[in-house]
Amino acid sequence: MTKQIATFKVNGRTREAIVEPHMLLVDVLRDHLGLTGTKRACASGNCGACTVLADGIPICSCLTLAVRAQDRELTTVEGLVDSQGNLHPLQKAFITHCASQCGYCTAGMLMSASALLNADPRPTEEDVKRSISGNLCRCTGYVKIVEAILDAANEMTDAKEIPA
Amino acid sequence: MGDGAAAVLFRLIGLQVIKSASQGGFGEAVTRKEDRRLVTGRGRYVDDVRPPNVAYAAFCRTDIAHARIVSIDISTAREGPGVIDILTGADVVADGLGDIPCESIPPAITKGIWHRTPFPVLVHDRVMAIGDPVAVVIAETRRQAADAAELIEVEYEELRVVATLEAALEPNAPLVYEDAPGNLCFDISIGDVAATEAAFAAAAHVVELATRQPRVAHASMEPRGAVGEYDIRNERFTLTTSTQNPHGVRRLLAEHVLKLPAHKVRVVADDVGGGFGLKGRLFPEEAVVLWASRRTGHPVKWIASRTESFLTDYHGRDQMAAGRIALDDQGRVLGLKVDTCHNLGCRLAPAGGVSPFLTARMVTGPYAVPAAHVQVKGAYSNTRSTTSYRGAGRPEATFFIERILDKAAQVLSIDPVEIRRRNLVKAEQMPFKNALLDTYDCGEFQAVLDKALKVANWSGFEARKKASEKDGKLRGRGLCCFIEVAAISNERMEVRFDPSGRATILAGTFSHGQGHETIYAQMVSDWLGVPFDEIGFVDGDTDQVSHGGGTYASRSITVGGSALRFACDEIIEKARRIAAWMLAADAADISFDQGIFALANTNKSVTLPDAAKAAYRPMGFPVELGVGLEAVGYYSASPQNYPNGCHIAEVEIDPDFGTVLVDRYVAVDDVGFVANPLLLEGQLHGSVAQGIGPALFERVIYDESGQLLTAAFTEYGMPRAHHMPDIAGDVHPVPTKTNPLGVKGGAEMGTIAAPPTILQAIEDAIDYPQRGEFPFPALSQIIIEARRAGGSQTA
Repeated sequence: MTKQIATFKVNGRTREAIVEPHMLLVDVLRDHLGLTGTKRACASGNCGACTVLADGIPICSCLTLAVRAQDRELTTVEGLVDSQGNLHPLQKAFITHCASQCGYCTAGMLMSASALLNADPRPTEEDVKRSISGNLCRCTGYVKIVEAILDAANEMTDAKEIPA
Repeated sequence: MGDGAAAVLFRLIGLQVIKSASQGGFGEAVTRKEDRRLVTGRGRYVDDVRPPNVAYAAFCRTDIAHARIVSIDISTAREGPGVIDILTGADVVADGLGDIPCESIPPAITKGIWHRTPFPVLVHDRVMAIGDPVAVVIAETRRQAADAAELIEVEYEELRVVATLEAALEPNAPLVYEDAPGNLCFDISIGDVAATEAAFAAAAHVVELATRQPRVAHASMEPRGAVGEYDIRNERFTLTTSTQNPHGVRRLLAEHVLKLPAHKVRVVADDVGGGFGLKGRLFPEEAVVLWASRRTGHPVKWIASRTESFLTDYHGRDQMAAGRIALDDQGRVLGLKVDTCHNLGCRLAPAGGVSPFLTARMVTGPYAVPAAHVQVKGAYSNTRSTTSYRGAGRPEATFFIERILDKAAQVLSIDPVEIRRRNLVKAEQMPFKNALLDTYDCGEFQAVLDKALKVANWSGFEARKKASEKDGKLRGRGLCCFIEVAAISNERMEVRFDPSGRATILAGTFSHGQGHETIYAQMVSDWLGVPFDEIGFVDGDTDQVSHGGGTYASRSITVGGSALRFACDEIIEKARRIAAWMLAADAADISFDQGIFALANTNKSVTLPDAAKAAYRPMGFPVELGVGLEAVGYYSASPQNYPNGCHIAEVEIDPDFGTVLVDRYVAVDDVGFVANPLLLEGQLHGSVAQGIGPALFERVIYDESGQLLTAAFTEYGMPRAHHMPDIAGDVHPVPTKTNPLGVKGGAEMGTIAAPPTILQAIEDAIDYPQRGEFPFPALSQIIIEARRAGGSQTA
């Protein structure tokens, strides 16, 4: 197994890491790039805790070989805040609605939801539930997560509709 | 304390919470202090901890359920790249590591008559369930450790396997332990045999029922994991782990396994990704990483894979009950006799007895049952040990009494609501000593039932049923009345002011998703008049918190909150004396309100933070007032408290596919005084999800050779977002006088109530002929088969 220097574009920055071909993106993000907000909970693509965005598309970083993610724009939960450190409307809504309990699924939920809102600014409740159908949560019963995502969608749409 | 469950939702603008005069008060719907770090990916769970020079542990685990170990060959594995050391059960014996004890079989009930099991941290002689650890590899990387573990060769001599509870109880079943005849760990009776027999003799009707609770997995999203560090300089161990009970883990580690003074062991838990009873005590891997760290000189880390979690996490439930209920001709219960047996798994988990005995205690439910007798057994099998799972015994008890009432209602042609109404303990009967061991101190069960019927628009059901029929769906409804018992043992809470005049709470409880940092700060802010945002919080570190009981059994708000109340009271009294000194007055003339000490008949006052600062002056402060300002409060949950409620569900069934949609869910709960409605709602939603799962699809399955067939999320059904109904939650608070806050437990209602409620609704939807008997979980295929067998019912 040959080690190589790989280059990643994560959260708007270019980062290098020494990786081996078998390494998974989730492990490189967490162990090599220090982005531990992305969680590893099943390592088989069934729980969504490791969800990150690659070119805006939600992917399971536990099913993605790190070397194959090199030419893609990656976004992790650490990249949701803006450059001034302000929270993303989804993050604010998760706080307002108390949509986290233990917090372990939260990053994956936020990333799945942000992909949804990027693609569809006016989702229905069903759309929201579908968008997080690959994300498991054992604490919240999902109710407040769904409410928070719908609330964030409204917030973001309202903000956009304020005339310039 | 506030005067009710006022729901005051704070709107976030940017990051600034808009403050009102009452912001952060106890009883208000305050958003959580914890969440800023959790939504930004800054939580710190075990796998996020990576000390310098860390090595990784991987376990070699048996893939045979029951076998004698003939030999272990580690020679090939030892040559693997990066391998630092390999340890086996023989090393555990050589190093004198002790067993993990079970301390949760209640002595008052069992009189000490129960069978003990060995529980080594690595097995050296006989593996007893698939997944038992026989060796551990320590290597430089996770992958190297896992690869080398695959190279360990273990020769086994296979033994006969007892794979289920039913198999364990067969007359000629192989014995899991030679000295436990009948595979029984205990066989205990509670209640009054003679009175119960007399009740049955006088009964107009006797109804019988057998129920079976499937085994379930806690499946916390954060897998178990641990980092062990041995500090050779101080000869001290530090364990960072995913636990609900740091001090409990430390005590078992130090006293029983490592055999050291407790001060030689520090246990730390940061954020913990869910517990639900799983992480209440010690696991073998937590001891192994510490021991391996001392042996290798490296910090040692182990994180369970998901399959390893399903294999080696203790499981929950797995119980059968069979019993009879005696009724008069009006449907009033005269007596109840129940035999219940719990699958304990292959050895007693440290909290192994909790669920069986709570089941036995609570099986008469919220009903005025004049006579009852319960036989409770625990049986061994070649399966993973079982432990408390959210609700712990109360779901099993509630399921039995509710289902047998449903059957009785059918037999006596009484409406399911009416049979409950006729038997619920009335408010004027409080305090009510039930026929077993408990005395319910307060509760208005009839009012709770009435409120639930109203919120659910129970009487509007027929119209909704017709609407479903138009869509080709079968609609049914079910309800459940329940009581639980919450809060256990004693607790210690500390409030410490620092020289800046700011307060920190040091909690003996341990938050793993419940939001204690928020709720305790609400209390302290209210009681001491200090700003909510400025209150510090520490839990989960045995070096910082001198003692504590951890969090389980809905105990924290009762025992932690009450102890905190006493700590705050003592702070006020200490600070009053400091203020008196500062104002050159008599403490008796100084009043305290909203953080300010005021001297009577003057305009002189001292704030609590200023009093605290004064107490840290290095000179000039009278030493008889001490140095600094801190106080410890203690509380013991004796008696415990009795949360109760009534839940109602409506389901819609697709008759062609047998799929069940839980469409509406109503929960009216009496959790006493509501500490934070927003967090209570979260507990309700989450517990309902954990009730819907087992009701419809969750179950752990072993095949007859003891192989686990549900070892991944693809095989073990977990509730997802689309399984969740609209939930209407409401409260009917009857504050208890058994603790100074009037609070009752508020975390387990849905896991207790949802399964019988949903099962009843399914039976109603398909007009199932044998009410109370529908199999659990109610899988689609069973629903289709039941309809086919019933034949007559069509949409």
